[in-house]
This record gives sequence, C-alpha cells and structure tokens, in this order.
Amino acid sequence: VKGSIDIDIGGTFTDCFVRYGERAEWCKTRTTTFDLGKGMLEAIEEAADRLGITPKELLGQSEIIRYSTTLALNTLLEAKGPRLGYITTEGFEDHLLVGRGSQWQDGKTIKEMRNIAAATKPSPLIAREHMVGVKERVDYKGRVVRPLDEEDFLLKLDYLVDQGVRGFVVCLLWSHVNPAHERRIRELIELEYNETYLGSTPVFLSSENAPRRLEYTRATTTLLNAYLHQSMYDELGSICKRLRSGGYRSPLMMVHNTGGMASVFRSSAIQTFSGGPVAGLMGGSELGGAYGFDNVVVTDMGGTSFDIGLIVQGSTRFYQLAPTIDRWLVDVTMLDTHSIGAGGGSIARINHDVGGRLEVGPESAGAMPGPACYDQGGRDATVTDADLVLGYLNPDAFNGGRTTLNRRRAERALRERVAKPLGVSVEDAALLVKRIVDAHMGAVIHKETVLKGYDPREFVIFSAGGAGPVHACGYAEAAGMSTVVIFPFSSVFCAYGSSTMDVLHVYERSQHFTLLDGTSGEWFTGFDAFNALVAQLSDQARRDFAGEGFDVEQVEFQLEVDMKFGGQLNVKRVAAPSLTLASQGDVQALYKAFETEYSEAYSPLGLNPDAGVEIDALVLKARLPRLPQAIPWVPQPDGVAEPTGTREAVWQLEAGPVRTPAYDSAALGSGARIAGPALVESETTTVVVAPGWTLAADDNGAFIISHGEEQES
Amino acid sequence: VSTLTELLERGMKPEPPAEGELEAVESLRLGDYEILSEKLVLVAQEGKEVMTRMGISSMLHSGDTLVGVYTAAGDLVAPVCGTYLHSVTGQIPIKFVIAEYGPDPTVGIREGDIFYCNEALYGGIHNPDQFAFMPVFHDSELIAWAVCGAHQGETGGQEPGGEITQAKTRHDEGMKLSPMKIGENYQLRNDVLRMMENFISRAPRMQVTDVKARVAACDRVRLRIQELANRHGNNTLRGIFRRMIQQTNTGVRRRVEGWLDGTYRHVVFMDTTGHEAKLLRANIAVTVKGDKVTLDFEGTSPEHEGSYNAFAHIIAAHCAVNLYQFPFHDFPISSGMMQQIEIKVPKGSFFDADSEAAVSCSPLVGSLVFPLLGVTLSKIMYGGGQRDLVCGFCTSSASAVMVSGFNQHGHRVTDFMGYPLNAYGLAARHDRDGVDVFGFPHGPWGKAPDVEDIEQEFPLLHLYEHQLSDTCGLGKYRGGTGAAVCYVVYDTEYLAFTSSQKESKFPASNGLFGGYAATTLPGLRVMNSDILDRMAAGLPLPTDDYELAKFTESGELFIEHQTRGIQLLHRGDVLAASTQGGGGYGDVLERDAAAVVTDVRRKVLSAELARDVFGVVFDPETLLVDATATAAARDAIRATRADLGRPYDEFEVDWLQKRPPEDTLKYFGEWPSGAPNRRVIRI
Repeated sequence: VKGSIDIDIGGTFTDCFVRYGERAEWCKTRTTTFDLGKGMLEAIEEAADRLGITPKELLGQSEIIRYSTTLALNTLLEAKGPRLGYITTEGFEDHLLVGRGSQWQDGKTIKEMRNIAAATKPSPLIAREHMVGVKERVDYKGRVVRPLDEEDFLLKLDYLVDQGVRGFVVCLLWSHVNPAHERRIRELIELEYNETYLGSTPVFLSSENAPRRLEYTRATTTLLNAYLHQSMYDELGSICKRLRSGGYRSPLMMVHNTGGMASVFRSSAIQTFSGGPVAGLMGGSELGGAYGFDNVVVTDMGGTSFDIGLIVQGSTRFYQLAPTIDRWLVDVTMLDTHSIGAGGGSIARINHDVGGRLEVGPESAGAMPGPACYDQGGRDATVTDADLVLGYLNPDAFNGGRTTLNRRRAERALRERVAKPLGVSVEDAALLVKRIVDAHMGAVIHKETVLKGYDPREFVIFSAGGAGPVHACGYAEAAGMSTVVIFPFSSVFCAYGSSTMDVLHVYERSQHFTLLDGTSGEWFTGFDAFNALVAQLSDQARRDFAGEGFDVEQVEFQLEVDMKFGGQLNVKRVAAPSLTLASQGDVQALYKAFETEYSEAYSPLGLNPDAGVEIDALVLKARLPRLPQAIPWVPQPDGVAEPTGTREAVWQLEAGPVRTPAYDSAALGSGARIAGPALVESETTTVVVAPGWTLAADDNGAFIISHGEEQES
Repeated sequence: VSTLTELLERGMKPEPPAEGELEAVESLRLGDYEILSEKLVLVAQEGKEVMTRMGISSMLHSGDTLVGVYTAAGDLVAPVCGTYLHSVTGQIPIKFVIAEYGPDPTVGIREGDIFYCNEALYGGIHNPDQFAFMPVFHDSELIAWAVCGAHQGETGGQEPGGEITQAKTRHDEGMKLSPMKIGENYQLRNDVLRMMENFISRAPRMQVTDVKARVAACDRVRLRIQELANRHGNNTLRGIFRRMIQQTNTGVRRRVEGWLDGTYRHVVFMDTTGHEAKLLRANIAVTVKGDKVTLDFEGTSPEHEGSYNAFAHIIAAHCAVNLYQFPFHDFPISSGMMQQIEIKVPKGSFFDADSEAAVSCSPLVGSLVFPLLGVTLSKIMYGGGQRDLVCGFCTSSASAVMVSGFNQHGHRVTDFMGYPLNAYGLAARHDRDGVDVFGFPHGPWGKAPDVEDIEQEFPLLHLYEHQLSDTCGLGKYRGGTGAAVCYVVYDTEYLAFTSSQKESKFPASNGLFGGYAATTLPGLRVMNSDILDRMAAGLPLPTDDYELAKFTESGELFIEHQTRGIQLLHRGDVLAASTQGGGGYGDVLERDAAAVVTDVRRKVLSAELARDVFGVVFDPETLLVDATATAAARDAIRATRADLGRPYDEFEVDWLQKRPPEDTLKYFGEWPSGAPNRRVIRI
C-alpha cells in the first residue's frame, strides 16, 4: 500500500489530508506554534487513526509528504531574524531604505494609504550602519565600468564583522547580467572568514537568489531569504528529523508560490511564502477539471480574510503584479491569489463623518477578543454576530459544538453599534451587515475576473473556509454569479490541494531581446542567444530533479515569456508556443500569442506593434507529472432531503424572521434537492441556501447550489 | 467664452440637483448606497489599472493620473486619484462639452463618442495633462461620463519635456487641444492620432501608446457603468451619484464646524520666474467661519513674463491636494467638498495670469500651496482636534530633471527622471519625524524607478543615488530627508536636459511651531569631465552632492539654480539633481540627544549640525552623548537666544527697514505687499 500526506499549517489549525491506497482521510488539529512538528505529528496520528493503521505504518508507506504554511510571516512580523550586513555598489547604499520612495504604502490598504499624516516606512531589517558600498560598477550590458576594489572591500568587511553581523546580503547593480563581482565578494568573505572560524557566516548573492532586473526587489528578495533562512532551516530540520524517526524515508516537499514544489532543502524561504492559498488554487483546478468547470473562482472565507484565486479555461497561470510580503515588495513569481480583510471577525460600524454610513471591515476582532458572541469580551458587532442574529448559525453547534455562541451579546452589539444609529431593527441591521460584507467580497471577485478580461457570469465559485458556505450565495450574487460548489473536504481544502500538485520547479532569468524592432520593422533573428538561455535554465532543472532523486527523463518543460510593447514598463507574461526559436514562423507565433493574451487582458484598442515588441525575461517551468489520483469523493446513496428541524432566520429587510428548515449535511443522499431558504449544518460549517437558490447533493458528497435566473440584488 | 469663464469660476462646485434627482435619492433602498458607492470606486480602480498596465509615460506610472466616474451633468462622484489635482478641475471640460457641444449639431454628444482635452484654459492644469472622456449612455439616456487622464512627458513645445521653463507665452508650449472629439462609435480616429504624433515628434511612440491606454481605460469604465445601469436602473444610479455628493459635503461640513473660527495666515516666497532667479511672494489667509472655509490668496505677486504662472482654477486644484491628503483624507472624493470651500485668487497675480501667459510649469507655481496650506491647515487642525493630522507636508519644488535624445537602442526618448520626482521628504508630525525620501508631493503613491529601469531605457550611468544628509528641516521632530541622484551621460554622444525644480536659493517649505525649513539645494553640473576614465582606472569618485560640489579634478564645475533651461551634455558629462527634505516641527533644543546622534550614525545629519544647531555634545568616534555637556550647551544656546530677544515693536521697526536687493525684487510687485507695479506685455 502506498500513501501520501499533505499538511497545511495555518495560524490556528493544522490541516491534514492523507491518501492510503484507495482511501483518503482528513482531519484538523490545533497548530502548536511553539513546535510546529508536534502539531504536525498529532495530525498524522489522527489521520492514521481514522484509517485504522499506526502512524508508523502511514509514514513508512508514504512516498511523499507535501507541506505548506504561511508561518514564515511570523518570523518577519516579530523581527526575530539575525543581524545582517548589506553590501552594494558604492553610492547606492540606501536603496533598501528609499524603497522606490513610497515604500511607506507597500502592504497597506487604500484607506491607510490615503492618510498621509500617518505614513511611516517599515522598520528596516538591516540597520543603516550595517549597509556598505563597495567601489565597483557594471553597466546594463554587463560590462565592467569600474573594477572591484578588493582592498577597500576588505576594510568594509572587517567593519561589518566588528559590528557583529551574522550574515551578508550582497546586491550589486546589474549583477544579474554579470555576477562576477558578487561572486568575488563571496570568495573574499570565505577566504577571510573560512568555515573553521567563528566568524564564518552565510553569504546571500542577489544574482543567485533573484537573478532579475531591478535592484530594489532583487535586494528585498535576497534579504528576506537571508532573514528567514536560519529559523526556517532549524524548524524544517526538526520536522524532517521527527518524520524520519517516525519512519518516513523520502524528501519533505514544500509547496511554492509558483504552484510548483521542491524538496525543503532546495527551496528558499521566500518561495514558500503563500503555499497554502496556492495549494488551494491548484486543488480547485483539479476539481474544476473533474466537474467540467473551465472557469472557477476558488474562495476561502475565514475569520479575518477572504482569499480568492482564479482558474480560467482550466489554467491557473496568473501571477501577482506587485507581490508584497508584509511591507516588502519582492520579485518572486507568486500565483495570483488575492486577499481582502473580510471574514467572520470583520467589524461593522457607523461612519458618522460621512452621514452615518454603515461600513464593514477591514478591521477584524481577530481570534481575541473575537466576535461579541464568542463571549470573550468583544464588544464590536462583527459579521459572525450578524450571521448568528440572522439565525444562520446554530449557537450550540458552532465549530463542531466546541464553541457555544452567545446570541444575546451579539444582539446587544448589533443594536448599540448599528441598529440604533441607523434607526432600524436588530435583524435588519444584521442583514445589512451581511449584505455589505457579501457585496465587498462579490465586488472583489468581479474586479479580479473582469480585470483579467473575463466575464464573472461564466465562472462558478468553489467555497471553502469556515465562513465561506455561510456567505457563498451572498457573494456569488453580488458578483453576478449563479453557481456555488461546496466539497466534502472543503474544511481542509488547501491540504487537499497540495495532494493534487506536480513536482514543478520554476526558473526565471531577466534578459532583454527585441522581438520586433519598431523602427525598422525587422523581426528577431538572434535565435542562438535565446535558445542558449533556455538550455541553461533546463540544465539547471535537470540537475535539481536529479538531486531530489527523480527520473530526469520524465521531466516536461514549458516556456513563458515576459513581453511588452516598446517603451512600456509593465510586461505581460505569455505562454510560448514553442520551447525554442528556430524560424521566423516561431517568432511570429510568439508575437501572436502575446497579441492574443494582451487583447484579452486589456483591450485590442491598446495593441501597438508600431512601437516594437520586447522580451524582458524568460521563465522556464519544469514539471514532473504525478500519476493521476482519484478525487476523494464521499459516495452517497440516493436519497431525499428530510429536515432535522426548523430555525427562525431572517431573509428580507423589514420582514422579520421566518421559520426555516434545517438539515444535517451527513444525512443528505445523492440527488437530494433543497430549495432556499434553508440551512444545512455540518461539523465544520453551515451552508446557507438563500431564497431563490437550490442546493443539489451529488453522488460524490458535494453540494452544488445554483440560482435559477439572473439575479436582482 | 462666457460659458467658459462661468465654468472656470463655478464648474468645480456640484451642479444643483436635476429634476427627479432628489426623489431618486429618496427611492434608494437600504444598503444601495453602501454597496454601489464602493462598486463605483472599484470600477474607477479597474480603469486605472488598465491604463497603468498599458501606458509608457513615467508620470503615468508616478501617479499623476485620475480615472473617474462623473454624473451626466459632469460632477465627479467616484475617482481613483494618483493625484487629487484633477479631482476638482476635471469637471470643467466635461461641463464645457455638455454646454457648448451638446446642442451643436456639428459636434453633438452621442453614444460611442470619445473626447479629448489638454488645455489649461479649459480647466486643465497644464498641457502635459491629457484627458480622454466618454459619455455613457443607457437606454438612450446620457447617465454618466467616464474620464481618464494622465500626465504626458512631452508636448512638442520649444523645449522637450512639456514643462517649458523658458517659455514666455502660451505659444511656446506646444500642443494644446481644447475639448474635441477624437473618436466615434467606440473607434479612435487615425487622422487625429497622426496629428498628435506630428505634434509630439520627440516622443511619438509614447504619445500614441498613452492615448490608447487612456481611451481603453475610459471604455472599460463606460462598460462597467452600463452594466450597473442595466442591473439597477438609471434612476438608482442617479440617486447614488447625488447621494455621494451629499455625503462628502456632509462630512466636510461637520469637520469644518469642529474647527476654531478665525483667520490663519502664512506667506512663502518663490525663487524663480522660470526664466530668471528672482523672488516672488505667495500669500494666504484661511478664514474658518461656521461650516465654511475661505482660502484667500490676496497679496500674491503679480504675473510676469516667465513660465512660472498659473490660473486660478489651477491653484484651486492644488488646494484639493492638501485638503484630501490631510483634513478630509477619510472622505469619499466627490465634488461635494468644494461646496464648502471658497477660493479667492487675485486676477493679475502670478496665481491667475492672463490667458496668453505661459502656464506649462503651473504645477511648480501651484505647489506653493503645499507649504501655504501645510502650515495653515496644521494650525487649524492643531486647535480643531485633529492633532494626528498635523503635518507641514512637502516642499514646493515637486519636479524633476527631464531628459531628451536618442537612447542606446536608437529610439527617440523624452521623459522625466522618475527618481528625483518621487523622492521628496515629508515634513515632521506633532509626535514623530517626517518620512525620509517620501514621494512625489502631487501624488505620493507613485514609485521612483530603479537605477536598472532607467539605465535600460536611457543612455545614462548613475554615479550615486541615495538619501542626502542635512536636507531635512530640523526641529524637535525632524523632517524627512531628500535624496541625491547624479547622472553621467553614457552610451550616446549627447543628451539634452532641462529641469523645473526650484528652492535653490530660497526655501518655501517651512517648519512648524519653531521647526526649521528644509534646506535649499543647488543644481550641480560638470562639463568636459573625464569621470568615465576615472571609473575605469579605479580612481576615487564623488559619492554625494557635497563631494561633487568640491570635485574640481576633472572638467568644469557649475553650481546653478535647479530651474535650468535646455542644456546639451555630452558623453562623460555629469548632472546632479537633488530633492528637498520636509520641514521640522518644534524647537531643535527639545530633540532627544540620542535621536540626534542616531541621525549622525545613519548619515542623515552631519556632526556639525548635531553640535551647532541641536547643541548635542558627543564623542566623534564612539558617538556617545555627553548628557551633562549637552545640557550646558543647550542652556548656552537658550541664553544667546534670550540676549537676542527684543520687544516686538522694536523688532518690527528694524525688520521693516530690511529689504532684499532691488534686482531680486524685479518681478515681486511692491515691496513688501506684492501689489502689481508693472505691466506685462506678451506678443
């Protein structure tokens, strides 16, 4: 029997999804922040228990363990990284501090960005006095304009070491084009402070960590890797040790932002940053394929945030334009998952300054004190309070019965904070709160789809997260969409997602080619240089796969190219029709692919080949396709829907509560249909079927909720 | 012309509700306003992203942009602003088209029309700002306008770059399009695009690409509004629009009511007319009474023959920048704000010059409002319960070096250098320092490009680029620092430079409550330099402006005003352009000595300033503060101050005797009032 284990560690819960032969199981345990390996092992033990085997058997038979987490952020937020020194070209020592000027707005909401008087740049991760400039200079073609002054560098090195620096980040201008000076600096450091010395410290070169144009983000990317390196290394080393002693023998794989994955020791810290949401997106893609949905919005609504990711025509190939980690813009390829501050804990309040306008979020009551109904001292009215007052949530069955909700406190908070100032009933206040938060989420879905050139009405929603199914009909309606799907394993959706992923490595390199010369009208002919770069990247890929113990012959390659019209600053990443260029036909086919994707994303009104067409970078994806795996359906016998009882729930403004049937999700047989309004309860959530919507249970244990006609909201 | 004159005076304020509009507000359902008002902002945001991703111009990326939804009558209701400048004046060209061309059968307003405008006389700021706008029809009814504007780095004027520092009249400033139709049936007209290319022959590629980017963004906004109308009905949208105007107005009114009634004054001086380094006066009196605010610029110097003139509505637009960035930063942006604000600009001053005047540098004039309102609004907010928002804002310099020529790839390029543009310091706040290298005052959300961005597209080699020490205003809390950037012409035979920065001889960005002004900064230039050879030989190079100003080993050094007309630099020549910091807050002697020394360690302050101005005594090697000696030094400075003290009457008598050199006052008007005293003749 062969098995696989997928773990997604979040701030509150560790999600686990395992396959064992033909079977699949999943579970959630509390995250143990003081020692992540402990919670992880507990999750594996519980999963093994559900399978009826020992953890040793499960680990021993597992061919792969995939791991995603967003916890690297904590190290950053707590500023617990080591003291680092920064080495750059003389005259440019401040670029991490300057941060393209408006660094103060990076990672901030629009509301915060508008408040200029409160602008503050993030605390630097390296103090100014630990930043030194070395005498050297390379130009945009990689030509050495000023030789590296080694004597001067050694003096600065001594200064940094005297300051107690425990690691070096090196980012010289144009080092991605000509890394000679950066490499020489590493050699000099290693010569001066070799491994046997206590002063021996790691050196991070930007030309290796992020070999891409633009020194600010090349530096931040290298810096974050250096900053997070030691703590992640220690943590993952300890996890690997525990897994090994439990009987696991293969490498531990980490989910990357790119949608790929690699072994822990071939991953850099920053590549794994948004592993969880990315895994969810990949899972959505697999399920979309199984259901024949080409266009899907994967949504995950938790306590504080609402995450979405898009699958278009079966593809997840959208990347973030300005990826930002905490307050730092970085240059890494991240699949475009989008997050806004809207969740169960989002706070509703009246903005008196603008004539008593009701606003919901982005501030959140968080886990402590949480919504008023949690009875932990929270006084603000939140979305969860509204859901409870509306009758959607069962106060005695929240979170599998582990939390009892206090309805009186929820009512009081809504009355004081919303209903009284607006002059409406508590129920109407709650419904307004829900409608507003649903509208925010719907608007984001709408914007993210249309901005990529697609019509949201052609998409279905996959809903995950504790609060997702409660609000799915609402945000779907607000986005103008009419189908929502909820899967039986929605509560561990990201862990399930990583189980569907290929081993995929992504390699990127900035290099400038003119595909079409705007002045002469001539097409690109430098095939050798282009193909040599592709060959360089694919050789690297083969080495990495071999190092992880995989069969290199099985690896498949795909090329993507960052392209733009002459003079533009922003590029459009385009899937290249061929891996190499060998003829004018190949060149024009590449242009055609660019033209098509550009027109779809923006507008054919903007096509401008007269200005020329340029290539900025090549991105090579190397993939080892996994064997096809069954989706872990929960087969259901045919059945009809029988309510388990009724609850008072509010659906219309100024109409008050009405008796609404409630169902047990586990008892819904295949083919059961429930017309809204109705409430369907499960261990982890409540599916709210709004009026006008119909829930159909299918024979896989999934719920498909659809709206009959075009909606009026 | 009478329509235009009237519009320039009242077009910034919202139109009175049309028939049925108030009923439409009443008929809105609960939650409609909250949901649809947010949605409209997202629509504008989507438009802006389309434009930014498609466009070229550096100012488009630095954020000198506006994408917005306007009512059928031309009032702004939902914009996304890279700068608030256009949030008040953008209405004027639309209202003009409605009034003048709507009834005109040779033009008309029809579905699918695309209009365009870049003329300051018709409500623009200056002709680099180009706007596309489209009427939005639904069920055959004009329900809204979609607008998209952005600054373009070239206008075909007598100098490259659009801000023509040596212009004497409007005729030197290149393409100026009064509102006109450039497309019909959702199609751009190729003949019009060719005309623009012909005007903008220094950067034809940028012009055409960016016109398309604006129009594509407008069209996206148009489409979304139609979708909303389809779903919610024209009447609901009409009600939402009016409600948005009402809500901003309500918010502004309430906040102003919380301010202390009174008149708050400030005066600043500008050190150039564009063509000569002379002194001009800009004066403000802000009167708060009940729920109304009046901004009166009486006492501002007369207009002159140079390029640094503006029109009244341009000054109003600059007021919006301060108002929306500080006291009203949390309100929705709509024309409802201006209902509470009266702006009086004296006709014939350089704030409201004759229509023949050169105004392509008007943002350099308008930006004098930043320190004027920075100080007066801070005083108002300090007393009015908004102490958290007290901030003197930014310098009035707010511009950058412009480069023009052929790049290393053989393309004609003309554009602002985005780094200095986005690198001004923010002034200190009541409880903390300002922000070092904060951004572009007109639109602080833009991004300074990387060295590798510029060197890829321009034949330049940067010698240095970093925070510049001693550029911030000093005080209990110091202003943010400015930055230094130095370019060497490289990989081309020659390049042309111009620059419209100022405050090289006299600062306009003042401190608050005893804080110092930011420093003045000269422009530096080295001609016939052998700096590239020195680099290759590994010889020492200047690493900041202070070292460059003493760099006499190579070529001929010029220390000059930062407003510079066109100059041709050859390979190896050097040009530095620095940016001012922000003003300080409070008395320097109250600054924590440890903070002063930290600034020395971090190269924000020189040891001399720390010692002489802040009175901090420390060991120059270890940077350890001697607390006792510091207290004594500060006491000594206080004693010196006390010795200088005199009764106000005595001081005033002496002060009024003082007068700058006559030549400096050539364009000032009467001293000291600034009243007009000469006639300006333009041909």
